[in-house]
Amino acid sequence: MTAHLALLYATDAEYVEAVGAFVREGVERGEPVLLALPGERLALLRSVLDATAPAVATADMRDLGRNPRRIIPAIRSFLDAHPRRPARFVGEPIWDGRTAAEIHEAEIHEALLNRAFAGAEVTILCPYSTGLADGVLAEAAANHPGLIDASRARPSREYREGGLSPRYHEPLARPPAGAAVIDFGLPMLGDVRRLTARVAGEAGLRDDRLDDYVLAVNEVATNSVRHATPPASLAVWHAGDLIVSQISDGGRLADPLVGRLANGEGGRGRGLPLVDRLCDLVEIRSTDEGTTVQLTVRGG
Amino acid sequence: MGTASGFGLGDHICWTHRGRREWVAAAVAYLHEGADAGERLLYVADRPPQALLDDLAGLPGRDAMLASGQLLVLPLDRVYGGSGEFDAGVRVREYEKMARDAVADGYRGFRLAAEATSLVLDDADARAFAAYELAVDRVIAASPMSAMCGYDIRRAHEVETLGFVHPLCNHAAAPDPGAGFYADAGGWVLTGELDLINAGSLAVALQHAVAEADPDADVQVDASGLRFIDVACARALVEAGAALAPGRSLVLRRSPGVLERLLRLGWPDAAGLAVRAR
Repeated sequence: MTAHLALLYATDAEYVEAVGAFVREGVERGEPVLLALPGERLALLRSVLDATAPAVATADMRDLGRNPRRIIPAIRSFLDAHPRRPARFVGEPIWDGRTAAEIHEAEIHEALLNRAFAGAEVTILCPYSTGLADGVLAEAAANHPGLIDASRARPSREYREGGLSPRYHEPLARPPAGAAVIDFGLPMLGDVRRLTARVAGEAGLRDDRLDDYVLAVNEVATNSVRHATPPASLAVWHAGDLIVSQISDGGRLADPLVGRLANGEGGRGRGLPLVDRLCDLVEIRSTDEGTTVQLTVRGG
Repeated sequence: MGTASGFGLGDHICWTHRGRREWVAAAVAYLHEGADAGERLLYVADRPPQALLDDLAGLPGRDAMLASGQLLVLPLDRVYGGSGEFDAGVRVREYEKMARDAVADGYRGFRLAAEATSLVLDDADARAFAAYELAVDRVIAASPMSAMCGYDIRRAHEVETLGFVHPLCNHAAAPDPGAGFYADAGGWVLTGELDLINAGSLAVALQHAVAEADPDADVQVDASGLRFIDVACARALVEAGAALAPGRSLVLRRSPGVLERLLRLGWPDAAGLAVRAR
């Protein structure tokens, strides 16, 4: 049975004690444990990790979860690689300094965890600093069936069933007036790539990172060509050092977990996970009116 | 590539057209250059013998070249039999011999203009014919020969795939007429911008390359001209590698870094595929 718990912590000492206890308990029971925390929080847990090494796998959430869509696939791979059940995962997806867009994606991710691992024998603990904004803490209570607060576990009265954050239905902001825009169909994927490369290049994206970003935009545009009624459209712009592409079409993505779970039939599901690996943030909104995918990378 | 001129020995050109007038103009220009260069010429089309000669009415010196043996004309069914019937291996060996004979007879080489639309009137025939075109690539790369293959874009099937397996193509409808998988003097070449529009063509071309691969050797491909490749085309490479004999690999040489990353992230455990920067 899956448990998905938010740990609300006020101090580093509380953090080390509660996460440490959760990890140690898992190790004592012989359960595989994956710890994905921002790097400086992993450092706080060094003594716990030294005592349990090498039984606990770790990852820096600032890399793994920079794009929160990568977290569920990472848990999935960990479970696949460690068939012994039950297993444990500690994931801290929101920290001070995350942008509003990143926080929304992390919240969508947290809600989807309740769907993605329903029935999988994995216990998931998500630390939240009580110093985070009230709105973030309220969403944490809505996205977790259980809360741990001052070392006491209790069910979350605010838990929202269904595993879908209302953020998923909030439309993305329209592209700014200065964005470069193109409508495209199958024969115009080359134009999509050239426009993306031009704007991203102007914003300072270079070499491998430019190639990777063009590949990501091309892949999402290809999905629009394949699955939606033409024309689809692309808008590309940069804001500060962020390079942003928005690809819109009239199709609908029925499954909110699209791209996050195992590769689809016949290996055809590889495009979106690849995009998630190549971009710093991937935002997908899909309604009856259509689907918008927004891909962001840092330039420079 | 608007006019059929500037071609020489070693070239293998896919010339798409919209009907006889366009084709004849291209073929005559192409053969005329070969005549001036002292090459033996062969003209093939799905026409009765007299009509073949009529096609070449605009070729200077036509009758004298016919009399001297410099110019040969053959109806398509004399060369290829009916659709789907001919043996590609036999056919290309005959071309090799004709190229050798041309040189033995004192010509600089052998130049072929063949209108082949009648052989590719359905998808299956066209995909099978791509294997023959890949075999012709290799004969041309190794012989004093060139060939221009005509396809009527209104009737031929899989024109994109047929263009894809020729080193040169005038296919104005293709977003990147330079995209292709074919053979040149150095071996297999993968080049251009490859995306969803040519993923099917790439899969067909690779199936043929795999089918005739030596089970005792890797399949080497020069990818230095690759300017873009998407996930759909990468999948075709992965599937081709997996279809090779056990222990054999599709080796992509001088490959751009983005392809290496794409394959590592998308197919971390792909067997039979190696990507090299050099």
